[in-house]
Amino acid sequence: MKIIVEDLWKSYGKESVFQGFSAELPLGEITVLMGKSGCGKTTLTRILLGLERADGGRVSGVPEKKSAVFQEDRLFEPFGAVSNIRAALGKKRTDEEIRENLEAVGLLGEVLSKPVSALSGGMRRRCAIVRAVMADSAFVVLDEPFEGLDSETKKRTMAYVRERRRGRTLLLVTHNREEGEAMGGRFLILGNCETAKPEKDSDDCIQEKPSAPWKQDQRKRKEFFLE
Amino acid sequence: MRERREGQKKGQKRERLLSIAAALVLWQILSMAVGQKFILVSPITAAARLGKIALKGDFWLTVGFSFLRIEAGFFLGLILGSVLAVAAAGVPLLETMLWPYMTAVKSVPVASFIILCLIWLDRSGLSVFISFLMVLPIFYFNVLSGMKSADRKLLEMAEVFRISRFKRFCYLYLPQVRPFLFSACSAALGISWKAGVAAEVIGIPDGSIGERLYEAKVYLDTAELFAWTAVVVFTSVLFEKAFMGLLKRAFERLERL
Repeated sequence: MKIIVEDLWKSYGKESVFQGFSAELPLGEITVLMGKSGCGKTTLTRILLGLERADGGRVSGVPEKKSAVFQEDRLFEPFGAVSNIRAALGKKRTDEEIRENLEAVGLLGEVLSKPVSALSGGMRRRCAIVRAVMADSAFVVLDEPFEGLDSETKKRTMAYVRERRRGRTLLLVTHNREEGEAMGGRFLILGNCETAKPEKDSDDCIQEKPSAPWKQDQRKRKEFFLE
Repeated sequence: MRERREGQKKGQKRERLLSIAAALVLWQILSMAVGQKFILVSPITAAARLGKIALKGDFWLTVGFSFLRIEAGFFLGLILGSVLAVAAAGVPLLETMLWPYMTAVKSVPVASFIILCLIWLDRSGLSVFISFLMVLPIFYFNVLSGMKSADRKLLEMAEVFRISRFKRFCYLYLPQVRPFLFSACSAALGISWKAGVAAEVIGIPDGSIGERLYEAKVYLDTAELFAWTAVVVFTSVLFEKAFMGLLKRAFERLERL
């Protein structure tokens, strides 16, 4: 069972993002999506989340129930952390459970009584992460979720996501390979900004097709990504 | 920061009280300069007359008559205007269909409506209908603007998480609509009193403030006119303060949920 992206075409005006891009995301596993800025990582997540339409190609197998951490926190500003998470959950989940999850990422005490607009960037980020993890979803998309967290909090939050994934399909977008490795995911690397096309690369890079300039500099690229 | 804000508020209050005192002094000087009671009474005479009419048995009945009708019209306009705006924000065709009606109600002179209402309705219900008509487009257009200003990114998030319509309304739309609703309430409360009393002066329903103002005009009783005008101003301002305070509290309560 896989999420299959076939021959995907997408452009914004004259700027082409995908030209026949194909990829597979195994269901129930973690896929780490990496690539240079502007490669189309966020565009791909938006298409998978159903927020954007591709110009051509097919996307199939995406579970109906989805949750996400977007590049921005996208929280209901005047409300507290618990209310924000409760808004995205079904009736069965209790406030007690929400507080327990928030505590797992280090959010507790007075912080919970404040509106999220009064919280720091890192606190807001963790609130968005808990919301996505707690949501009743089969496909979780995390777009650079750990950006802006200090290393200690990042480790704690990553451990929280890994533990509470409960076998769900997780797509992690990141610029940090270490994060992907720590999450234990398979890598999908978008190597080219002009034409993102997949190609078998290495054992842990499930798909990637770099364009000519990148191919010429493949050794350098591998050094960068694989260290 | 909070202390500074409170200090600023206190300063503003003091300045406002001083400006009111200055206006009263100016009024007193002008009335003394004119020297004719039926043209311009002094604030002291108007206050004395206000005290006198407030002691009469039918004073509160008169105030209650106009207050209930004008505020009933205000609430009807608030509810219907907001409901129509929420519906129109979701159904563009409805917004298009409502546009000519709302624009017409907004632009037609209040006197035309008053005369039409005198033909269609009973005089006692006149101020309800006029106050309703005047505030309806204010709430409709303001709430519609608030609904349309909803954050697209939050809407996308709500779509992904399949957040119910009710929750979207409470968490997403209400906070966005809040400033629009507050400014609409503030404007509509003043307008509802102005238009409602104007309608009563033209329609002269028995036992209304408008009837008292009409009588003051007939008998050239300027002191009575000023006294009843002061009653309208006080009632309108007090109700506005109370209503806005309650509305603010309701929103704060919602945000603490």
